[in-house]
Amino acid sequence: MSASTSRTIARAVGLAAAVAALSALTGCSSVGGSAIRTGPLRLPPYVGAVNLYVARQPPAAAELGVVEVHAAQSEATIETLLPLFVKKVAALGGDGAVVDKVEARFDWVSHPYTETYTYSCGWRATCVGTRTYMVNDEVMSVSMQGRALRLGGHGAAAGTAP
Amino acid sequence: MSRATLACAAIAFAIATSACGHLETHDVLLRAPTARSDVAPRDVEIYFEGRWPERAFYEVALIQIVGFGTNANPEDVTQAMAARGRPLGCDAVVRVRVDQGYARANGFGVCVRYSPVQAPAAPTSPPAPPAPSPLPSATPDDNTSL
Repeated sequence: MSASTSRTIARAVGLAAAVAALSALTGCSSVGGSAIRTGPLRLPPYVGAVNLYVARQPPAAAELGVVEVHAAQSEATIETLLPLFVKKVAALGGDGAVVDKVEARFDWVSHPYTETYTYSCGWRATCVGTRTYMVNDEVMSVSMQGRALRLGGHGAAAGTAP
Repeated sequence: MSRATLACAAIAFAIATSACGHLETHDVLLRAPTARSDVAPRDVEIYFEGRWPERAFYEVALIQIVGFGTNANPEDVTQAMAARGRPLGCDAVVRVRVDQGYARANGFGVCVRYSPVQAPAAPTSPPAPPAPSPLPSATPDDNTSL
């Protein structure tokens, strides 16, 4: 992977984490990801079992692209991220998924918080008021980054996809 | 000192000394777990990113531990990883990485089991930069599919 590609991915990951953090606070789903084709090889989506390489070196294979998936807060779990990662690898035509990095990022996000309060106002009377102020929350975003490979191009598994 | 003051002090002490934290465990199994009673949690080896066991291994599961509050530190998170690895039958947790926040810590690792047959010596790193760390060769039949 070239240095410029790495910088581009790093920027994209940072932006994705910020978006995920904001999404988590606004109530929308924070789960998202990208699959970027690299190189000249273009393949249709792969259907079938995808080999996963997390702690082992993959065999020699054609690299199809880079994949990144992310989520924030309670959605930032590997149970959520890994199936999406594999799905995006298969969408690039890959039958091999290499997980290069799983990292968490922590951001402080300010958002308005509105609360209602009561107070005495006059003889035997209670008034209700609302006040809004900014609160800071620590938001954790987890990003899984890796590559999509076509093992069949260089290995014995060629053409095994149904 | 009044009784109410003493009660308040006792409550404050209890809050201050109680553990205000917890750990969340997440995992994805890549093959059926095999619980092993002969491996204590402290015997599950921990290898942080860039370090590898000298023996050949195969992957069993991905483990994620999220520590909150007073448990948001690398020590508690890695101990929880080892504790989770034991019922899964893991010999080691490799590629361990702990990202530390203010009140949260996220740990990720790969639970592995050593291959029964000793593999040949790990290949040396290629000279071209960036040189990856040497990885033990995997057994031919341990490809993990999802």
